Amino acid sequence: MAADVKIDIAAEFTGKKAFRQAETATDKMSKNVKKLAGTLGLAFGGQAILSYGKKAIKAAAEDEKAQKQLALALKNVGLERDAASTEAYIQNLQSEFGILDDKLRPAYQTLAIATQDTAESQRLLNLSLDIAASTGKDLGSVTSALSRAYLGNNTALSKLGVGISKADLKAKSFQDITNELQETFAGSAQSAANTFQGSIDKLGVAAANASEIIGTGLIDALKGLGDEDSVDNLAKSMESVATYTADVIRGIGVLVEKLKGLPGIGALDVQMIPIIGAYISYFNQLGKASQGGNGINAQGLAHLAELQAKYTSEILKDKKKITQEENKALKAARLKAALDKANLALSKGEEVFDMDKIQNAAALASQAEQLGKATNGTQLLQIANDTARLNVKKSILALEDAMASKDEAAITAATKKLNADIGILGALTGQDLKLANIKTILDSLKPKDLINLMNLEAALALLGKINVATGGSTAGGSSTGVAASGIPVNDFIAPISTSGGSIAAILEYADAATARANAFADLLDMQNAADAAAFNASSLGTSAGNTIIVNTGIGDPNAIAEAIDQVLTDAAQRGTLRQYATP
Amino acid sequence: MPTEVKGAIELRKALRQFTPDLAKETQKEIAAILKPITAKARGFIPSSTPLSGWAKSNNGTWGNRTWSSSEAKRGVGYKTSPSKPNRSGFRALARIVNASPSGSIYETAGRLNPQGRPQAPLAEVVAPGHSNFGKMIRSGSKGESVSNNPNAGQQFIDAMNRTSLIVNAYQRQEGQRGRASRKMKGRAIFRAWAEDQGKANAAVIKAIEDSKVKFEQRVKGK
Repeated sequence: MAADVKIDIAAEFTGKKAFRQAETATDKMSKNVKKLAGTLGLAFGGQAILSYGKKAIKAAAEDEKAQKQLALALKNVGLERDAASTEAYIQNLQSEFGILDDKLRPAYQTLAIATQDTAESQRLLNLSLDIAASTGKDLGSVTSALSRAYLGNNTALSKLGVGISKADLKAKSFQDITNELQETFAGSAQSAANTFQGSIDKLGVAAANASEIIGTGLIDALKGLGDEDSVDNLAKSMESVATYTADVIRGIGVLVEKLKGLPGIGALDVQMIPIIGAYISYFNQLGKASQGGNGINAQGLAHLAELQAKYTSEILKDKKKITQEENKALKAARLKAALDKANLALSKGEEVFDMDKIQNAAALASQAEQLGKATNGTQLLQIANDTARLNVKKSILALEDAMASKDEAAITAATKKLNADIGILGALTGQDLKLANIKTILDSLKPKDLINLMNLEAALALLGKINVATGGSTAGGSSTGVAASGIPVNDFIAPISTSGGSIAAILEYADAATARANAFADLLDMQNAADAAAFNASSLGTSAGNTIIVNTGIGDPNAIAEAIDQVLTDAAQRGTLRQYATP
Repeated sequence: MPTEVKGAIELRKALRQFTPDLAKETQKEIAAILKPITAKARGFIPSSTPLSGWAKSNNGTWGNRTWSSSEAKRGVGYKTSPSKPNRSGFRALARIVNASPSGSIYETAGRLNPQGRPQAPLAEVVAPGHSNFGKMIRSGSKGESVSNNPNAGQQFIDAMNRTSLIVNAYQRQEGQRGRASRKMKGRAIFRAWAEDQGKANAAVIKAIEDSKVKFEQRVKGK
């Protein structure tokens, strides 16, 4: 009642018991099927076949040994003449109930030793099989209990739990007890053999027998092989044959089913199959002819061990070879990784390199600004020093660029510039300083003017020369004559009196004066144009300050345009941009 | 519907095996969380019998279900050890229980049939050796009342409801699918659980999580 009156807190799913049981059963089933498939050799590789061959030979050897042991035991108890029939009886039980002869022989041997009677032993073995199938006990313990009971010791029989009371065990004879047990457990072994598990067991027995038969055949086959290549070939052939045989077995299954439908044909005989049957029979005869007379012997096993060692050695060599190749590949991969790392570092270095350029330009701009604020010689010297260093750095960068571009001329020029800058820096560092040098350095920071206070006199003189050359008058020259423009000197219209004159005369005068002024203006424009042409033709007009050279080579026009734009922007920011013509 | 936690059972085993002190500490923490709820639930158990006749001892069907306030209060408790798996395969890591017969009845009366069970029909006893052979008696299934009073169930439940109404402590989890649980209703432990509003549940899970962290620290520390 109180079962539901509870509050569960933080539950955990641990799975259902029924699910676990089902999973376990499925696992068991799949393991059995896998084991059977493995035993039948449906999926073998070369190594697996060799291993299977070894097991098969071992199984064949053990089977032969068990047969001999049973025969010896029967001989010792006086049942030697029944050895062959006993072996046939065991084989029959094996195929009927799906129990391996490895278990049946010891069980029969135990009973035969106790009873010393073939018929009684077989009766008790049948009973043991029924009891074992019904109770789940192993066959060995049941036969042991029965054999002891046969000899008068009922304790083990009472412990089997077969439903016989102690009173019955004491009162009844062994025959009565076994008769009662036969009635109780009648048909148990047969029923168990007819289940699915029983069918699997039967197949397992058939596979084990096949394994033993193959093992015997292998011993004979290996005697004729020379080296490991032969084993390889044999393994491959066996693999092919195994696959082929599996298909044949399936085909035989179908064929047997079909034959059942034909009147007068009870079972399959290979020789009944047209053509192929003849070939199979031929191989069968060939195999029988080559079958060793002495069965399994030590020589065959030793030969197999030798071949296996060779095979293993060969595999080891292959593995070593593969490992070496893997090492090489690993080494190459490591080298590549190192190169990638180096490239990454270089690319980072390039970024730094660019940063150097940027910082250098900024520092130079800063020095130019400081120059304007300098008030004494010490500051000028400091600025000159810093500027020289920056110039050296700039030259280094330019040289690196030149080296990267592999342009010999550029490299030579950059080297020369670097040497010059280093020379200046060396002079500054050594305090071997001349004022002229400082001035030169500082002048490099100043914007280049076309005409300034320094060259004003020279410019005026030059302009004067230009004027004279073009026939113009010099400043403060004669008041007579004709100017270069063709206008007479002091040629002007005399003013008229505005009082007492007619309005028409005044208007006429004004028109004339305007026409004359316009004529003078035109002449002045012509003179300016001529002056400009003369200036451009002079050394001032052709100075480098008006020409921007962009060393971009042949490339992207946009890149060139951006470079020009950058130069002009920098100049505008520095305040050194005077004017530039737009196309 | 308890919150599902993964690995707590294994964690508890590991705690008990490698850090017994930490295992005990965790149990104590969980107990400390659940104790106030059980105390409150005990407070909801009436000190006097809800129906005057229920407390009278008798030997009939209700012989072992006689009302006892002290027994009902004692029956309310908590467990901090994992339960056995239920039919769905879940194991509760901790739980609050109302274990006594009378306490369980008080807890759940009217939970399924708020108006009491329907009256079972009258049927003649035809078994010759039966003590009531030839008589008309009420014979029904578990869901039917065999009382001759058709309102017996209703009166019983009303008497319970006068002391405390049934409270639904079901808390639907976020994104939870399926039908809501109908077994999270009651007058004592479920009421106390509902009033706690899930704080204890969260605290228990946190205590388990904390123990996991402590355990990992201890193990790494070693």
